[in-house]
Amino acid sequence: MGGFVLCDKNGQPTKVLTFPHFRRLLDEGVIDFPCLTSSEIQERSNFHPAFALVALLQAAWFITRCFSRLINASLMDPGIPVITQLEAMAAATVVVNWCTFFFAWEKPLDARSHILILIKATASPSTHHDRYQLRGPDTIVTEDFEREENLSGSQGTERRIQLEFPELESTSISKSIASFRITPLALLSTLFWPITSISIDLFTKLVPDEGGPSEFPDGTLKIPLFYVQNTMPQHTVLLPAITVGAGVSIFFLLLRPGSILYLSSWAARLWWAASISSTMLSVCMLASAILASVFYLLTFPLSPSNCMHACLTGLSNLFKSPFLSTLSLWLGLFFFYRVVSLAAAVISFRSTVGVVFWGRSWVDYIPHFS
Amino acid sequence: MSNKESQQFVCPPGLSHNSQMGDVHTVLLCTFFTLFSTFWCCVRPDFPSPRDSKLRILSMKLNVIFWALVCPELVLYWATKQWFEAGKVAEWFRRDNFEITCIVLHTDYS
Repeated sequence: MGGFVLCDKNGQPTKVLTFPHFRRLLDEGVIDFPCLTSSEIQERSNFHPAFALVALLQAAWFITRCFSRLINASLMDPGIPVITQLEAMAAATVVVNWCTFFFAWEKPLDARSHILILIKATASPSTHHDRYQLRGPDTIVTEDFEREENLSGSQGTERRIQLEFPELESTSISKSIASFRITPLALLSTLFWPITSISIDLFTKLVPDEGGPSEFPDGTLKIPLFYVQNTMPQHTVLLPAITVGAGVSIFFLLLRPGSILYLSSWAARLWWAASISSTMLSVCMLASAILASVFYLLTFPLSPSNCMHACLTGLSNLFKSPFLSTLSLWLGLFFFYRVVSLAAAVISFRSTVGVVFWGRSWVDYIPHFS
Repeated sequence: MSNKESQQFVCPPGLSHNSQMGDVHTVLLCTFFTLFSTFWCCVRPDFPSPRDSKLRILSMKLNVIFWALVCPELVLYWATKQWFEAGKVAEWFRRDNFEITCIVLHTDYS
C-alpha cells in the first residue's frame, strides 16, 4: 500500500495515490494506465525465499522443541518446570507471525522505490477535479532546490513543500506536514495505530459513510503508516484474526502451572491474570463476531426488500455492540497485561536456573541456530 | 516458583553448573534468533515516503515489530485485510487490462 505516487510534469513526486483516487484519475483520462507486471513489483522486494526457508525451519524447530519439552515433562516428572515464560510467549508470537507471513507473502519486503504515475501531457489542470496545480518555471525551481540542500530536518521539508506548492504558502498545510516529524501527537498516533485503525474500521462499518476519505490531501508524501482501503466487509477479515487471537490466549491459559518457571509468586499471579484477561476478551469478541457474521451471511440469499433481511441485519448489528463494548472496555487492560507479561518474561529469564534445561530432547539433535 | 524453591532440585550427574548456564544462554540466543528471523521475514511495512530517512524507515519497522510482539493478532488482522484488498485491486487491474486489450485489438482489426 502507498506504492503509487503522482508526479507532476517535471517528474517531481507530489502526493501518494489511494486506489479510489487512482481509479478516478484513470477514468477521467488524466493519467495513463501504468505498465506493470507482478514480477516488476516483486523486484522491488528485498526478500529471498532461501532466507525465509531458514527462518521457517528455525521457527519450526523452536516450536517443536517447546512442545517436546512440555510432553517430556508430563511423562517423566510433572513437578519440574520445563519451559520459561519467555519461550511460551515467543512460541505463540512466532506461530501468529508465520500466519501473518502467509498473507504478506506477495507484499514486497522493505521496498523503497515507488511506482511513479505521470500526468498526461495533454491534460490541463482545469479538466480534472484534482486540487493539485502545476508549478512555476523550471529554472527558478532548480536554483531553489540547490539552495534547499543547505537546509536540514523539518526546515528542509517545509522548504521543499513551499517549492512544490507555492499556492499553499498562505495556508497552514505545508507547516503541518513539515512539523509531522516532531509533533508528539503525531508520534503517539503513529505508536497507537492498531487501536485507532481498528476503531475507525469498526465505527465506519457500524455507521457507513458512503463518501469516505477516498484520497489523501495535497502534498501528502507520508501516508498513514498502516493505511488500508476500507472496502471489504469486516466480517471476512476480523473473524480469522480474532480466532487466532483466541487460540493464542487459550494456549497461554492451558499451559499447566508446573510447566512454566516463574520468577516469583507475583510473576505467576500476573501471568494468570494476563491469561484469563486476554482469554475472556478473545472469547467474548469471538462469540459476538461469530454471531454477527452468521446473521450477516444469512442475509445474502434474501432480497433487501424482505423484512427478514432487515431483521437479520438488525441482529447482526446488535451483536456488534457487545463486540465493540468488549473491545473498548478491555483493550487497555489487555495491552497493559501483555506488555507487563512480556517484560516479566524477559526479567525472570535472568534468574532462571539450570533446572529447566536438564536432560536433552531428540529435537536438540536437529540442525538449528542457537 | 521462586529461586529458593527451584534450587532445591538436585543437579543430575554429568551436568555441571557451567553446562547449565550454557544451556540458559543457548535458550536465550535461540529464542532471540528465532524471533529476529521471524520478524525480519514476516513484518512488512508499507512503502515509505520518498523523503523518509533511513532512520525513519527503520523506526516504522521497529514500530510494527513492537506491536507484533505485544499483540501479534492485530498485525495479522492488518495483513489479512491488506491481502483481501490487494486481491480486489489486482482483480480490477486484470479486468481493466483485458478491456484495454480488447479495445486495442478491435481498433487494429477494424
